[in-house]
Amino acid sequence: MTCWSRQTPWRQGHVLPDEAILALGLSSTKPHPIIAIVVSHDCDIAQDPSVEPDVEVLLGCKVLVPDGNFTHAKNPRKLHLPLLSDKSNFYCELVATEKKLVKKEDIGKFCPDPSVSVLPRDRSTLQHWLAARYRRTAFPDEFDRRLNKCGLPKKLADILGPLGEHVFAVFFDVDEGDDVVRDGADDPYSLRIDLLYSTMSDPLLSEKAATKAASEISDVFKKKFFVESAGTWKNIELIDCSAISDEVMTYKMSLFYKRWNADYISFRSDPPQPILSE
Amino acid sequence: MSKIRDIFNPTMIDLAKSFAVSRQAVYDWQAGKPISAENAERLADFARAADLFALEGLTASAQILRRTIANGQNLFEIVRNGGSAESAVRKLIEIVRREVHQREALQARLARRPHPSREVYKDVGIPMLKEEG
Repeated sequence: MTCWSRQTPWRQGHVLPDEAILALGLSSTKPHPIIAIVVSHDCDIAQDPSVEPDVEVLLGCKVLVPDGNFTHAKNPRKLHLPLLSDKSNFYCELVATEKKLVKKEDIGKFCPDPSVSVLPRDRSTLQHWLAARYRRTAFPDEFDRRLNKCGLPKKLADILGPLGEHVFAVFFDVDEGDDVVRDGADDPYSLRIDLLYSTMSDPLLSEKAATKAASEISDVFKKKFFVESAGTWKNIELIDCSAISDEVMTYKMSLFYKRWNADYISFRSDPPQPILSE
Repeated sequence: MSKIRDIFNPTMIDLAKSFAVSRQAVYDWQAGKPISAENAERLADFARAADLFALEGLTASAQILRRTIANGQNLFEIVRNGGSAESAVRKLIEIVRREVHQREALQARLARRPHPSREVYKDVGIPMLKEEG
């Protein structure tokens, strides 16, 4: 029996070599060749098998062209993850339901594939994607539908994308926290947006960038949802969009809000920008 | 020197580092021993910064004095890198003023909300402090 120790070479994000996939009988609904990535946390991998007997492995396959809808942890079910390879770098498609358990004594007979690796920032994307499956912010379905119908998420991403260094969390306050069922487009959701800016490097510069973004976001909402002729809002009424210092919003205050998933904006930045963990 | 110490209450190490001198040199200045013209001018700049700080009604604390003001640097780091303490404190005051305004607006907005329940506090990710076993 292979003994397992904390010094095991296996870590989260490591890729199984082909001979391991074959020997372990890992099969997938995906086309071959299969790519198998370790997704267990390093602390669980290091644990004694009597406590944590298995390593979680996610099966995927190569994709020739990554689909932007699945990169940067945008989709909770499917992820297109870049992998570095000795031959040529490629993207791997991972599907959340293709998770397998492999006994430590079995995977311990093999070493990770040294020719393929995941960059630290992409490992971070993988972690957020895995976690988001069980914990993600949920807005009312109807609110989501109204927001998505007008392509607002992309507009917000376009505005905030270049500002990852300054704005690192976006908070939505829908109907002041009340659970209100809305009755048609003429019964709009009320929305406040707070852009949390960083004071880590240059607070005044970050505030200026966040304030400019807030103004642009206000313009976008007005263009999409404000009916000039009637002087009324339809679908979603943006009450306010403000820049807030990370020195101002307390933890307690943040609990009144729901975070808009802007994580992928940070993930797609190069270098990746800090994000607030949920 | 006494004004700087009274208002900012910096540690000797902070002052020595800011002026790139030894702690003994700072003690000597405090005791009235001779000081170079360049350091005298920098001390005067620091004293003007202290005046501004006091005029604004700010209270010195490690938290505020170590706040990043610009380019990732706090007051002492700006001075150490040849910047003006007076100019840095002007920026710090602006930062704090803006945040006071934001805090008041946010508190007013959330004042009517009920307090978050204990359940909400529980519903956050926490590190697992006992990984073993």
